[in-house]
Amino acid sequence: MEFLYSIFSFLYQFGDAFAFLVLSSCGLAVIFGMMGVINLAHGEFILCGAYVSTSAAHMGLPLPLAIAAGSIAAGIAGMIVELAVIRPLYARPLDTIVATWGISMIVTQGTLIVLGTTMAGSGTPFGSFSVGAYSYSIYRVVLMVMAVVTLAALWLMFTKTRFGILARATIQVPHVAEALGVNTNLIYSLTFGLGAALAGLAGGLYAPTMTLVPTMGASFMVEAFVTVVVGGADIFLGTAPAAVVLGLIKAALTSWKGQFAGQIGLLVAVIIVIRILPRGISGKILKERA
Amino acid sequence: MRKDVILDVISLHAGYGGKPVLQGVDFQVREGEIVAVIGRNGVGKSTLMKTLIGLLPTDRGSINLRGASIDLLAAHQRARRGIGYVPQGRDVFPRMSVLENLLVGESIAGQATEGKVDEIFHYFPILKERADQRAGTMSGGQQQQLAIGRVLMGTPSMILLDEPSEGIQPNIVQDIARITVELNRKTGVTVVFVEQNIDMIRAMAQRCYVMDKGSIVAELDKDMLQDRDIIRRYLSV
Repeated sequence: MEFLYSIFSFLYQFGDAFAFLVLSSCGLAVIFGMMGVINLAHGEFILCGAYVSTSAAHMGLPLPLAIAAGSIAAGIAGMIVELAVIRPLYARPLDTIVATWGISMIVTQGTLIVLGTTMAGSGTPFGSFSVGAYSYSIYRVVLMVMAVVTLAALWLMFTKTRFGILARATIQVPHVAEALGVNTNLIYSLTFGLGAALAGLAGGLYAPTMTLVPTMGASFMVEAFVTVVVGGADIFLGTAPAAVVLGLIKAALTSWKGQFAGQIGLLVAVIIVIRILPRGISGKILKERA
Repeated sequence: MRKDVILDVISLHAGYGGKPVLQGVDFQVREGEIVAVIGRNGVGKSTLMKTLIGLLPTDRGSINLRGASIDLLAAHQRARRGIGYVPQGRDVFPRMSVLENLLVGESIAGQATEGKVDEIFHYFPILKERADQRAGTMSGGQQQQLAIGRVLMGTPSMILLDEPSEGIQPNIVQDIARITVELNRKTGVTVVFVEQNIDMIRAMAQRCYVMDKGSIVAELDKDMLQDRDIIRRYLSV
């Protein structure tokens, strides 16, 4: 019995790590994978989602609707940023890094000045359950389910919808998509908005579990970047498998030596992967297919 | 202007980043015609096609579609006025299936047309066989058929073909020429194509413009196109 309890504990740890890796990274992965833009303001779209959803919850909106509101707000903010800042810089990828970094700092400091050093959280819902000697948060299980649902929804969106087909055409051969009547600027705008909305979703989902501070985006950035770097540019061939591998590494090291070891394990893993697979897991798969 | 002129290009200048390639191109295409633009490598044929569809901006002069200037329209807006552009080297979407490639072409019409996919499969049976295959894994000839099928999905009134024979086996070249002529007869679609392959030019073209150093230097009519030596001479101008 003890053995089964510890297996459950490990699976829970893994699921928790996997969910955080997937949810924190998929917005970044969509924007990087589909548009080639390295969005250093990713954490601030997460911040936007967290603050808006928590404010909405304080105003009495049920949690699922509050989280949706946070995601939508971040998505709209993303489309505005794309139009105003990113669009003129498509031909200059390095400049988009600097520009999005600038947005990140402006938003972080602006939030600090306007809303203060912290915002009251809405509390983690659903309580907990016990297996063996340990108790586990039910909400964390909801997050695991949400991670899988998000991946499934993205897969459906990119393979089964008109938007998905046009978005993939636009990323593969942009000038031909444009010449075939696809409004590629609109596709870029919607794709960036989608990435930002996914970041906002992550913020909204994790807001009930953490302290809301203006720098909270940074706590998602390491995991998000590690996952995207290990996964490479393709969200399904890359991000999802990367989250599985990294989730296992993190869960194993965390249950063995604690949180800190788990964090170090992720960084060591990314260094090793960059050394062996410079274009990530999906780069390797796509190269072998070609 | 005559009513039946679909494409009227007047003193067109264009190029890459200020480097001029087209230096005053003038020609007209009438509704329902199949017109070839021929010339050696590097005379500006592909640049002309890219400028017509709007992937390169007009520097001077003008492009008129049914009497209205389209110079200021973005490429996707020109496509939506019924221009189907088949790029040089096909440029299919490599990591998408054949069927998905075709569906992108619906954007030319702005909407799906009932039964269109089956119509394309009728003209190009190989596409039906390979419907679920990734386009990037097909041969050059199959990709060329896909690229043509892709624009037909949007029922264009004019098709621009950039070197359709390039890198394709001779029997497929004949197939493509035959199907294009058949489409033109049945649907009245106007075809403007750039080519160096004498067989394809003779199999398809009703009229032909010769390009050299960024402008049109001669026009060949149907009778002149019967003579292989005349075409050969102009291809080596």
